[in-house]
Amino acid sequence: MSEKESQMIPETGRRMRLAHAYIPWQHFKNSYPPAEALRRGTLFPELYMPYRPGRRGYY
Amino acid sequence: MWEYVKFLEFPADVTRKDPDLAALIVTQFGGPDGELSASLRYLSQMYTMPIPEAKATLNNIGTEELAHFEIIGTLVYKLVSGVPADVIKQTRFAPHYAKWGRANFPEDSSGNPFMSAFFASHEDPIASITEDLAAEQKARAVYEYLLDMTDDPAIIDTLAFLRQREIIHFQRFGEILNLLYDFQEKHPDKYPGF
Amino acid sequence: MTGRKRPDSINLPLLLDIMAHNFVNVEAVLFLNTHPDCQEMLELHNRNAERYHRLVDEYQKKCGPLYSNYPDATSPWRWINEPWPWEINYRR
Repeated sequence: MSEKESQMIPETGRRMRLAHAYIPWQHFKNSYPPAEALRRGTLFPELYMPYRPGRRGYY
Repeated sequence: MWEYVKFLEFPADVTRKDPDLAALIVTQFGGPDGELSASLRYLSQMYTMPIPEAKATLNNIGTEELAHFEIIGTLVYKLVSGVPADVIKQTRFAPHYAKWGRANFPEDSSGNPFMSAFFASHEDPIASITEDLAAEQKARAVYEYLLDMTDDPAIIDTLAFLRQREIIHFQRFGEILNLLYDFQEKHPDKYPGF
Repeated sequence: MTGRKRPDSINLPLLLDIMAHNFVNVEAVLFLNTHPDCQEMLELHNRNAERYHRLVDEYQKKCGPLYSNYPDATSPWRWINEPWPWEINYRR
């Protein structure tokens, strides 16, 4: 990754600065059907990150 | 204003009575990283946000946290309702029973009552939203601690749902943080304090 | 529970379907708040909201109000009917 690229948040073109927190921007791709969304706790497959016991903090 | 809709956000259930577990789960009813704390934090912070996306997000997530407060209340209620006092006496729920009987009360797992000192509400929006990101992570961690302490499949489903919501809220607050940086750059004159 | 619980007081499959569509709305609204120009999510939101309101209408006609602000309330006042949401066994 070049120095210039490392200063940008991918896909948003936002400039990243030191001492600031950033979250990648979500783009809508697809969704679960209603009942499955409720069961999983999210509408978005890319954000479904279940707890694996023994792996706290990794999601 | 708020309007009650007569259903839960998630079908919260238990498969068996368990006053010991109720005494632990109650920490998400009235503890430092619990749902009441989350709800009142966001619903207090929303007023002075400089951008409409932040006002809306705090309003909607604060509202959703109230629905989570009801889900935790449902779990605690179901875990102890109908359990005789002489059974409760042998469990970690006994100190709660001595004060309140089987009624729900917002307290942590050590019996400390809810306090607004659990959260903060700053005029500086970056300070508040960064607190909110931390709050979502702390609540996620607590749900993982609680998941480590039960094998009841119905309760696992409900706690896993609430934990997943913390991750979604974290994403949304992160997006708000990005939008606040954009706003700071474009409209420094409209930023709080100017 | 008191004598106000009646056999037709809830329809669990319909209620769960309503809860699922309510949840899609929760997610769609949070997403739209930070993505107000996303046309695809707007369409999903509107389709889901239409289905939600149809299911709620059907439920309220059969089982009584989910909203106290309900134009076709009948006597005796059914808003108070049990079970309340925390009293329902969802896994039966």
